[in-house]
Amino acid sequence: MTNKKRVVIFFVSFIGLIYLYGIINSFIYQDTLSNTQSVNIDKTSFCDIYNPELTIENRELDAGESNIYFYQYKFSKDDLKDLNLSVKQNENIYLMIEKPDANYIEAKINDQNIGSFGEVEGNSNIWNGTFFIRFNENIIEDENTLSIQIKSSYMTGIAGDIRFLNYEDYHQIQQKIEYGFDFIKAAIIVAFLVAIIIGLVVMAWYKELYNIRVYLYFFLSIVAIGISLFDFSVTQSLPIDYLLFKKIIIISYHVTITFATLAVASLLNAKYKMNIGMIGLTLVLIKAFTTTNMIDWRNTYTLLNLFLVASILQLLITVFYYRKRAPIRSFLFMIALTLGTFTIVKLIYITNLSLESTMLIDLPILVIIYAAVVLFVFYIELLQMVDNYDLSGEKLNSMSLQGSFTIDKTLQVVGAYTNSCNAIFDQLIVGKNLTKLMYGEDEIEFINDILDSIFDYKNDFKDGFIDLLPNEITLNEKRYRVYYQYLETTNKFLKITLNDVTKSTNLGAELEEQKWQQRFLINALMSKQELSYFIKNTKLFLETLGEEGFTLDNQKHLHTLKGNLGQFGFVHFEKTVHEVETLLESNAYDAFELVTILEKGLNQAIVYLEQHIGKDYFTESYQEITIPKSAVDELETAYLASENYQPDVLKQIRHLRNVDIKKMLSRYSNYVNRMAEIMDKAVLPLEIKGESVFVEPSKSEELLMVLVGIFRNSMTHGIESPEDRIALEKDSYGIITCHVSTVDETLIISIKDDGSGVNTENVLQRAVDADIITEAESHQLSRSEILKLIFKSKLSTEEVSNVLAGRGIGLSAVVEVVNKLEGQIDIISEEGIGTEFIINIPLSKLID
Amino acid sequence: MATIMVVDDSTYFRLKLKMVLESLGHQVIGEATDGKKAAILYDKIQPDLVTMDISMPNVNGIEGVQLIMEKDPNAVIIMVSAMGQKHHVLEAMKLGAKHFILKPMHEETVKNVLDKVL
Repeated sequence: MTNKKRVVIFFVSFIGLIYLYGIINSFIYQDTLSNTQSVNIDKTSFCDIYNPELTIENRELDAGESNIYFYQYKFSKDDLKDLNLSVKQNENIYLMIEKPDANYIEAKINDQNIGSFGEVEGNSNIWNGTFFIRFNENIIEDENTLSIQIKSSYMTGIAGDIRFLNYEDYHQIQQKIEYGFDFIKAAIIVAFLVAIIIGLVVMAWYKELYNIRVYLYFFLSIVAIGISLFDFSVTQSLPIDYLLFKKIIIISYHVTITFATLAVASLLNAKYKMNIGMIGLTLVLIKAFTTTNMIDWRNTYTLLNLFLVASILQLLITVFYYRKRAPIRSFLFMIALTLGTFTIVKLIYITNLSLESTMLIDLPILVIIYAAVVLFVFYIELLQMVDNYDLSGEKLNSMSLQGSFTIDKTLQVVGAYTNSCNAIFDQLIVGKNLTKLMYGEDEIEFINDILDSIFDYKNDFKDGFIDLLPNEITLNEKRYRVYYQYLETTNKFLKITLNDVTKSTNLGAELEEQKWQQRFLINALMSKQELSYFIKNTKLFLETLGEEGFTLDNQKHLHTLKGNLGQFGFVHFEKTVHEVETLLESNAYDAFELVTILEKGLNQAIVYLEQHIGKDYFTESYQEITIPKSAVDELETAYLASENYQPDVLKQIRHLRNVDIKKMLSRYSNYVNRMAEIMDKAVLPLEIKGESVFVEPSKSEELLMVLVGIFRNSMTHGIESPEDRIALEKDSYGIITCHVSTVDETLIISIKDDGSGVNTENVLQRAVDADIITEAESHQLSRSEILKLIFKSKLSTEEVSNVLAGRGIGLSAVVEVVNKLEGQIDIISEEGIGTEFIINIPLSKLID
Repeated sequence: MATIMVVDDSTYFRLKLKMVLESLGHQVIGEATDGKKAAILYDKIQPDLVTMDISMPNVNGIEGVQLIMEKDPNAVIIMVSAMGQKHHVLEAMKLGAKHFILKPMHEETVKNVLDKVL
């Protein structure tokens, strides 16, 4: 059996038993009474003494001086024979007076005082209960007068039977009454204990539970129950200041019903929570302070009870209207309602009719029951919540929830909301603050700021602010997409709709990831140059970070970097940077560790790119960018014009103008082809290999120009005609190769052909002919020395100069320029295999 | 079609945003690289809409919004922000910016925001 069922059974049995017992007991009481050999003298009702028109047989009702009233009856000795008094003499007879209501009662038979209750002086009063006065039969004469004197400043007289009983019957009835009281006392104690227990639970849980105001209403109801209990116990221990007491009781009824109705309306989150009972309560309170007369008081509160009826009616309408929000609760409320209505009927019945009010269950008990049912409903709420806590993760996860609710400018949940919200938030959300419900501690301030801006009348454009609010949140391990809608009627509201996307998020996360990666790759391919440049700069920045640490400037730079990362689609690296920034905010970080994290993030992105686009993605374009020269010139001019330029920076700017020497060499590709065409020779396209070395064009141009001598030399003297090459068993196509490299800040350019090589004899002959060396010297020269002779001017091994060669710009010019640049030129040549020219130039001569 | 001024210190993003805006049928009639220049240019060209980057050297986007709003309280300014700049966006919107675009920007999100403010 679930806890819920146990509670239901407990309460139903508890309330049912009280009622049942009350009903049975009242029947038994009535039955006992009718089975007694009692003699009924009168059947009185409330306020008879104020009703002059009322004439009842045998009763004489006189008003004496200063609020003294007399009930007078005639009876004969014969009338008492029904009492079946035993033969023995001096037996006691009991006079029973039901529900007297007075300051003082005194009974006389034949002017002989047989007993009294209350005090003649003072304000003490007698009310309720059944009073017995014992007297001896021997005072009875043949004809007798029973006189009951009531002193009542504002009382209503007697409201029940006046009877004579014998001892046995008195004993029986007394017992029945006592049993009834005992049972009710026990029930009340149980009810009160339950109320206390629930109160304690609420105290313990109130932080986690529902709406605190609902608790307040319940507590007020409990207080009212306490007062009702007090009413019940005090009734039995008269005399007291009855008017004051009665005022407290009536107020407590109003409090109970009014606040219970309010609590129910709150629980159901009804649009109108306030109820008309509150007006009644206010009026009752006002009346309580201004009334000094019991009759006046009674008439007043009879009227004011109508407000209680209205309150109950409101409850009925509320429950009916909102029943779909809480079917179980509504059902329970219906029970509470029935009981509440019955209470009211009873109230009216007692106060207005009160003819045969012998049922032991009286008003206080009904109020207790009513309140107990409200408590019960409340307790069910608690259990429902406990059940929610018990829900296994599986069960919760299998449910896909959607809910919407509304907040007003106080940022509190107001008005109607879908019932599922209770499940989503695992609490009653009415009256709760939105930021506390949905967002993390660290966000609250920011979110509040946004919400305030949304509700600020000055901001007539709300969309931007609304879009700033988080569009996804996690609640109880579930993921929700959040939609916001601003509504403006007479008031301003923000409607919030939550959509459970836990499942689709899990499924979608993978797709999303793929989508992002694709975007990243597409972006990378489309903006290759920018991206390469960006990555290069990022690398440099990370190096700087490693050296300088997270200075303020570097943090700014990091932040800018993050924005750019997003644009390039580096989703993961962007997140990494974001995390690092968060760590930076904490002020307790290890700079080295953070830089490592960043480097790792960047490398992962690079590795990803290399894997998907290819390794040369970076090597190809990494080293080279194209900037219009004019842009650099402008920059240089602008920088020179600035007041305090730094030479170092200027140098850097000028470096932007640098050109890859390989690119400069490529101009000879055409030259070689054209020459081959003219000379009827065949060459493969010029091959330019090696490193990219950036040099300043202005400083390198001269060298590049004179290199023509080498190419020309290769084409004229080196590469043979295709026929000769075939004869020499070479490929008909000649090969000329350039290679660029650097060693220790020295540029090395090699230009090599696979031609015939230098004919040393020929060179020597021409050198002697040109008087460069003597005949004698010619015999002493080593091969390399002879080879170097070809660098001497005036030495041209080509007999016929043509358009392309032999115009004075020969190899000597190359030597001249190389020397000017403090470089060297060497020649390696193997006859029949080829010739290689190697030029070494210090890089500093080519770069500023 | 609206006339738009793009404010961003990065040439690349100006270009990119310009491409997106033009593909949406708008006309970029001016570009500026910081908030101050933007405010000066705004006076001259009176665009229907301004896209304003948040972090820029010298005069940032938030100050830019302030400068433009002072001159024209009806100016329509959209902030362009990176992840984690929401606080700045809020600040800018309080000063009068109408909406924001989050980097990385996509044509559809830019379109949505423009539809809302124009």
